[in-house]
Amino acid sequence: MSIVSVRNLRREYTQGAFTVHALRGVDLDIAAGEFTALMGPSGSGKTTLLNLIGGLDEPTAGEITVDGQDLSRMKAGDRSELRLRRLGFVFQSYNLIPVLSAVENTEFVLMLRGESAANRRQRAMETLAAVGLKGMEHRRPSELSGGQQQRVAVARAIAGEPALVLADEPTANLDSTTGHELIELMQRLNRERGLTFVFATHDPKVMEAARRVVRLEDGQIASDERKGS
Amino acid sequence: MNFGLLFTLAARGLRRNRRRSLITIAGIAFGLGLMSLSNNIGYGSHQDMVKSAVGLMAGHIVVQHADYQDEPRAERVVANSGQIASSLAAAMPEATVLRRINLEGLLLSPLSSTAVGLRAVQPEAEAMVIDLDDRIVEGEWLKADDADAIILGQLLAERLSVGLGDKVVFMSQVGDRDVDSRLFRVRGMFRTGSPEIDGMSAIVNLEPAQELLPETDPATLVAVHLPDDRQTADQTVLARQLVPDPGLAVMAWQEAIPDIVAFVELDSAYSDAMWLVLGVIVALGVVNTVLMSVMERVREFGVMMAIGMKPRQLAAMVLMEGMVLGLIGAAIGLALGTLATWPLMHYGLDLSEMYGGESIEAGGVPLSLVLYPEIDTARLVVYPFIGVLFAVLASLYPAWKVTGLQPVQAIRHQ
Ligand SMILES: Nc1ncnc2c1ncn2[C@@H]1O[C@H](COP(=O)(O)OP(=O)(O)O)[C@@H](O)[C@H]1O
Ligand SMILES: [Mg+2]
Repeated sequence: MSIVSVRNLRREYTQGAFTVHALRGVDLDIAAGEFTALMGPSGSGKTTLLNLIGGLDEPTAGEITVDGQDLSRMKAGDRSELRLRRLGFVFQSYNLIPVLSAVENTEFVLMLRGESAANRRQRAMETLAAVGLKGMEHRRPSELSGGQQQRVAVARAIAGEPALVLADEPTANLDSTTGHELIELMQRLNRERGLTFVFATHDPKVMEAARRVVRLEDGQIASDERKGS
Repeated sequence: MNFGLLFTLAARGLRRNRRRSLITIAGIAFGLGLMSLSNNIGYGSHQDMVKSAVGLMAGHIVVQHADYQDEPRAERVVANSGQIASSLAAAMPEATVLRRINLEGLLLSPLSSTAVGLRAVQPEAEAMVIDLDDRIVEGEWLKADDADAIILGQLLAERLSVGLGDKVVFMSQVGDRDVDSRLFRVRGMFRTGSPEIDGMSAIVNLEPAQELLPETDPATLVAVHLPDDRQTADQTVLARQLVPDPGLAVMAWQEAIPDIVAFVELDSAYSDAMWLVLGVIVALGVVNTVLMSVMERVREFGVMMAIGMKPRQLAAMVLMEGMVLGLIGAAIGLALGTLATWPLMHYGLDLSEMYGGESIEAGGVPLSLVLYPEIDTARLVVYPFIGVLFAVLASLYPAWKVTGLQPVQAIRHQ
């Protein structure tokens, strides 16, 4: 069953006199439990596609269905609710709330959902342990390394048990070893918990880890390969 | 989203740029502190003024001839004043009821003469109501059984070149009666510090002055002095029932001395307006602080929106920051204002050098130039709300700006 279904998706940006075609008719289906890498050079439209799937942006044309819901028919408030309940996000960098500790960042989404204090704290601690940050729960982002910060971001994205995690170049600001470890972590979470991941990257090494690689070029899907597992 | 999370986010957000937050808090605290101090000074001097006014009038409630207020002519008296006073005293056992006569006339000594305001009183009752008996600088306060006694303002005694035991003659002409005169002996001198009062007033017993007036048992006024000004309105209603004579007017002090009420109101309104201006200036500072801290966090807000926070929750967080600033600032400001009021309550704020005199006259009432502030408890409760309200109002604009953020643009910011 598809978690994400994208049909003939277009996104144009008007900049003064001319128009940038960031996406020129993309069709894509992502099944539950898949681990998909969105590859492509800078400017190929990866971020635009992820933002549209995440309901952060609205398409110029085309349809997006996420978790059975047609995004084009939803109001901004409902999309925000969908993100809160069903999606997890990891961005390139600086995406933690600097004034909150690791565990507070992790439970933030649960707080927004209005879950009880004891429940969410326990879940956040467990999730941090699962991403390998046991003992660092009460550090602020500024007291953590870049790799550790991204692990907190992953913990925050998965703590609410989302249907889909969207990660936009999560390793771009990390050195290659740390980046690889992060990808391995996401892979493990995918395997052990059945979490669905879509992540954008233009790092060829990262690509090797993915079971499915979707290649974007100039706003169009150039190839879509699945490796046997 | 729960209040606790909003509060945590706001408090920590403010701690991030500690210096800027502290400056804003200091601004709010300083403004509110100054405002409460100045209000306490104003309140104290207004209370003082009301006290003087009530003393001057002899009470909180006054019974006069119906036309006396329009034009205070000596022959416009309250007849049978003793009876009226007794019935009021019987109905209001806690109050002091007293009678007074005010007469304009000429005071003559062997060497000189001068115009005076003669006040005839019941010495004991009067001493309970005003502090003139404590201001005797020579001789002694009136004795009820000494019908010839007169007490003079110190300056008046100097002008007449008389001392204790000397004779003076009071002359006046009331209505269409013949000019009448009465001999008194100087028994004491007082000093209030106001040249108008010390140079123009003389005090005698009620009975000798009554001889100069028409009607039986006359008095210019019968006054009721209450233990607490807050009883004035109710007791005035009662007094009106007890004194139904349409030829007499029963008034609360506010009606009898409207000048004072108007002065106090105008003075309060003026200083409130001043503080409103200051409040707006401080609020603009708060707008600036909150706006700056919001602009620095656009990216962060974008991430928060991406993970499911709604724009109005972000706005609530920004308002909460304003509220926290306001709360802390108000608490400190109020503490500062009260702390600064404290010593002044005991030692007074001496403005006499500035004005060159010990007292001034306002609305016909002598006002001491040594001001004793009083803590205005009614406002003490209101100020923190004002501080918080201004801070929250000042955060409205930044909060509104936040609701316009688009997550994608916000995340791309910088
Ligand atoms: N907000 C925007 N305004 C104008 N052009 C944009 C905007 N966002 C993206 N673009 C353009 O759209 C194209 C795709 O961008 P993006 O999705 O960020 O690519 P990628 O993430 O693959 O690097 C680029 O040419 C980029 O310049
Ligand atoms: Mg990108």
